[in-house]
Amino acid sequence: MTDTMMTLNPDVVVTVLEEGAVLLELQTKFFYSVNSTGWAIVQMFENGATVGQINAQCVAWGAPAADMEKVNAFVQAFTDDYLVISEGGPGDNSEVSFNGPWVLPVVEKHKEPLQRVMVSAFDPSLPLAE
Amino acid sequence: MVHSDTYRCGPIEMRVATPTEALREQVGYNFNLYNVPWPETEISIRLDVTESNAPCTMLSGNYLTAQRTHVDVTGTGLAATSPSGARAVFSRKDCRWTLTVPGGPLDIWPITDMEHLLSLVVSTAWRQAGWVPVHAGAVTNGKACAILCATSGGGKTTLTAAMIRRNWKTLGDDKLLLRQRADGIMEIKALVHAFNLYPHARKWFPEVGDLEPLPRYSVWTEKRKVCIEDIWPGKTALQGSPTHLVSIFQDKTVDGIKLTPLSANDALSTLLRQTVIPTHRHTAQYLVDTIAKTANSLTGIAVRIGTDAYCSPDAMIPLENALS
Repeated sequence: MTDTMMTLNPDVVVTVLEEGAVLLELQTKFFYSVNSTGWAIVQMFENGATVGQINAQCVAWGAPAADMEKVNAFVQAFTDDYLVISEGGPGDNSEVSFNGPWVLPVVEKHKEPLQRVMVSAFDPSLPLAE
Repeated sequence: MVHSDTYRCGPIEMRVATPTEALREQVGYNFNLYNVPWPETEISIRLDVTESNAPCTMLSGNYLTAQRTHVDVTGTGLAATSPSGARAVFSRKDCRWTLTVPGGPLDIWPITDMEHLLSLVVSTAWRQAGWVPVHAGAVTNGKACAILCATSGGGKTTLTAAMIRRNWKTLGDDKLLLRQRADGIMEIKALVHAFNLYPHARKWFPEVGDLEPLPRYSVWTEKRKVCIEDIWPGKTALQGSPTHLVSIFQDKTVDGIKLTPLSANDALSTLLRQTVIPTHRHTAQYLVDTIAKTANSLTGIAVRIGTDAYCSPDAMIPLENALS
């Protein structure tokens, strides 16, 4: 996996917040919260990055070698939920900024997805049986 | 003879052409619901209603899948279908919807599907104008402004009424518009100053009177539509800047009400579930941006409400204190 180029799934929309970001996968309707370090890595996914590049960048951001296992687990969580896909050429991540301090990247998958079938175009409630 | 009418649905001007009096009444019933006057029209939409008995195949719902409405993205806008044969097509360039309903007498399913399609028409227009439609209530005391969240039938209206009884004002009990202003401040605005109340609400709120003789809000519910100002004069508000998010749970094990803080993630989850997010990247991006930034700026409170909570107006004091 180290050399596989991964890019953010085009069905994922990302909203940046003060302390990280929120991601919504439009097909599954699951949504996720990531912390500031996680958002920095997501930006690398937006451009395209390999695990090797992510590890190197995290070290540059101040990550100790002992944290790489957790970084890779973060990446694996994205892979497992198809938030990233294996395609695209090498990305330019020189513009990705992270103003630290370094903390372990965290992704929290919210327990329940949003409704995929709802009552109406205004009411997102789960429909009752007619 | 074609009837031409103009309706105001919040910031939207709807110019509607209908071929029959019956269809005109149906459209009027749905659009006149939005009885809060807005000072300016932000976008104008044309809606042509036609009749046809031509067969209609359900679309895949690649933009939105609702219970009886499937909406697809097309090259020029949107197309929607319903099981009764009612359908609609939207031309984004012309800001024009064409809504087609089966000809002949309107029975329950074409009427129901027409209501849902008209809901799609206004929701799409509000989003076009930069607003996020939110299926929630809101109350304000001039300083605090709380968005009240629950599923349909989850207690938004009753809690809103209980807060009105404590001298709060309401922006509505289940239909609001939300957006981020140019200066970054989040604002919510009212669309509907009417409540849909169960007649049994009288036991907690005697001032509503006997609602039984009133017509039902729809064939699907026992609720009756009442004008808020008729019951609680001066207790409506037009807009607010949200400060709190209240997630409502009905809990028979609770005596009165019980409050607990909502985590930031739970507040986000709650508010995301109060709006419809189509499977269309550009539209979804704007909606999630607005919802996430709003939720991030609010203090979240989970309110567990016992069966006896509304018997005494004082039961809401802990919530009032939390909102202050």
